[in-house]
Amino acid sequence: MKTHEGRRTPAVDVLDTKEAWTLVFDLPGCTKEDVELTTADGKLTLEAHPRKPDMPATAVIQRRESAVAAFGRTIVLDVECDATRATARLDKGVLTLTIPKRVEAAEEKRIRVE
Amino acid sequence: MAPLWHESFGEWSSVQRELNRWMDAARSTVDQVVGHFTWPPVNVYETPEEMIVTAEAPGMEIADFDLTVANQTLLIRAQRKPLAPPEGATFQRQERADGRFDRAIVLPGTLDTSAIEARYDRGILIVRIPKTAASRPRKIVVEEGR
Repeated sequence: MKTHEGRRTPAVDVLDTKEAWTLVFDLPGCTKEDVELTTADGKLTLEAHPRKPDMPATAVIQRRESAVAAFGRTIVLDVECDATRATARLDKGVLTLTIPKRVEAAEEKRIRVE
Repeated sequence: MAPLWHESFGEWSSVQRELNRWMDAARSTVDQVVGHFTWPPVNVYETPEEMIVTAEAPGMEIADFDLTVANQTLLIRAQRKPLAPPEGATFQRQERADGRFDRAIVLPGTLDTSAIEARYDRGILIVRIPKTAASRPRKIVVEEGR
C-alpha cells in the first residue's frame, strides 16, 4: 500500500431496532476477501482494500475524483451489542453488518433493594 | 528591485489562477445537475486505444443506470434507492447518498461514440469508449532519401 494514496472513511448508515443494530457501509470495489472486521474493547474496526478496476497497463489518469485507496473506520458499539453473534454480508460494494443486542438488555430487570 | 518580466509573469499567473477558479466552478455546476455534492465520483483514464470512465456507485441495480451519449457528452444518470429499514427501525446515522444523480462528461472528438461498452462490477460502473481508427497511434515510416 502506497502511503500517498491515503485512506478513505466509508459512508455508513446505522439502523436501530429492538433486537439488533444494522450498519450499512459503502465499499465500492470490494469483495468479501478484501474486507476485515474486528471487534475489541467495545469498538468495531473496519479495514477494506478495494481492488482497482481492471485497467490496461498503458492507462494514464486524466481526472481523479476518487482515490482508489483503502477504507478504514472505527465505530464505538453500544454496550448492549453482542458482537459474538454479528453477521456480515457484502453485495455490489455494500456491506451490511447486523449485530444482535443481548437478550437481557432488551428485557426489563427488577433490582431488589435489601 | 525585481526584474520587470518577473513581476508581469507573476501578475499573469494570478489572472490565470482566477480564470481556472471560474472555469472549475462553472464546470462543477454543469457536472452536478442534482444534489449539493458530486456523486458518484468519476475517474477518467486514457490509453492509446480508448478512454475509460469509472464511477463508484455501490449498491445499484443495472436497471438503475441510464447512460446516453450525445453531442460529445456522456451523460450518466442514476437512481439510487433509499435503504428500506426493517419494521420499527430508526436511523441513528444516515451518511449514504440516495436519490437521482446526473453526471455529464465531455468527451474529446477523437472517440468513436458508436462503440461504447459499459459494465457494472463490485459497485463500480466502467464505461469504455474506443478511439477512432484515425486517432490511434500510428507509426510513420521514414524512407531513405533519394
